Amino acid sequence: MQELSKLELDSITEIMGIGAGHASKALSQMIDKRIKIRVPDVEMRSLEKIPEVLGNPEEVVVTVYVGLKSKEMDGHRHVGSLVFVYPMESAIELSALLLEKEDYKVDTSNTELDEMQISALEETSNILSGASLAAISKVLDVEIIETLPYSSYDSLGATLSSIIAEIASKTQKVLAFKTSFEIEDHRIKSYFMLLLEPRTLKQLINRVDDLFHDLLADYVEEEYTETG
Amino acid sequence: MMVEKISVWAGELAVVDKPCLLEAIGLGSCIAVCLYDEIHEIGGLAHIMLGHRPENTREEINPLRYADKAIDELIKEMMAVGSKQYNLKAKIFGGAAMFSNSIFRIGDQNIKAVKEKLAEKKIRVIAEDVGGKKGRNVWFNTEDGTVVVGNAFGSTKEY
Repeated sequence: MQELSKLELDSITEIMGIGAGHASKALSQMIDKRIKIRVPDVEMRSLEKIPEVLGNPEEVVVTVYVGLKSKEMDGHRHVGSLVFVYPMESAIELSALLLEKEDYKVDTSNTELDEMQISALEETSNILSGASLAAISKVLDVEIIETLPYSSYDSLGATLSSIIAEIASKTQKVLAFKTSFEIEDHRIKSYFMLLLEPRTLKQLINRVDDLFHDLLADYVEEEYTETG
Repeated sequence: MMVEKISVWAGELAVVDKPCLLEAIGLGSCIAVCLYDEIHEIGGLAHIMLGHRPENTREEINPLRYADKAIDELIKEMMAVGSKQYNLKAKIFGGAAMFSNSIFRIGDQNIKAVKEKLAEKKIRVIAEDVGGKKGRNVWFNTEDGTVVVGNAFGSTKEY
């Protein structure tokens, strides 16, 4: 797969940033707290190296996986995956915040998660992915559909390597987009990653190039009108 | 005495002809194939990700990702340091389905591919802990061929 130019990487980062912004806004409304979101990192990575990006492979985390499909003339095509990673402490605190509203009391001193907590995290990831994808779809003018969220409660290494194996059956490298968010007054930290397949990535780049081309054309036209 | 520990990550393999701990951390759907030659005290571990290499791929892909290629290479390297193929015995671990959904079938495919390849090479599987829903960590002691398998929550078992 071709390497990306700096301009292309920057533009993709920008688009992903819009998606992440919408997601954090949705979460902020759900729990009524301010959320700090990091500027996303976008990288082309060989698949085997992805777990290293997120930290200690032996750490126990809750991972929520959402598959992405695009609607095409000949049906649906798998285009990538969204992966949400919640470290244990954050998973416990965030699920407590989410369930508070439904009068479900979470004992935050408990180090194990129950079904309710995991399903609250699945639901939240679903809302986050919906919000960010809606924004990205709009910018790129493509329709992306999500699968239901699936979760795992295990070590980071075992979980991520399994997701990667699924993707690796098709390609060697992916575009990994990673960001994290923090919630005020709480030590809640979470990562999410968008992994795109090569064909989709190519479409994304073409679309970005088109957008820039249009922008530039508009700009030139404006200049001309003003001075003329 | 502390023996040397070697980490073997996905798509890698290691062969040693001395007492050593070969470690594979974070096995989900991946499989650790541990081969041991008791006579020569030679051990090898391949950490495979997938069963078979997909057809018509143009990209340059690391062949050690795949069960068939990785097991061929593992046997070759063990023989290169003095092992005999008929001495080799296998212990295999991993191949879990981490997500409760049928779209994740790689674990099962990997188990099948590894077993087929070992049968083709006439290597007997003398111990296994495969499938299920939980991840595994594997420590293969090449001094006596024993393997300790643990999960993320601290429980361990020896094979």
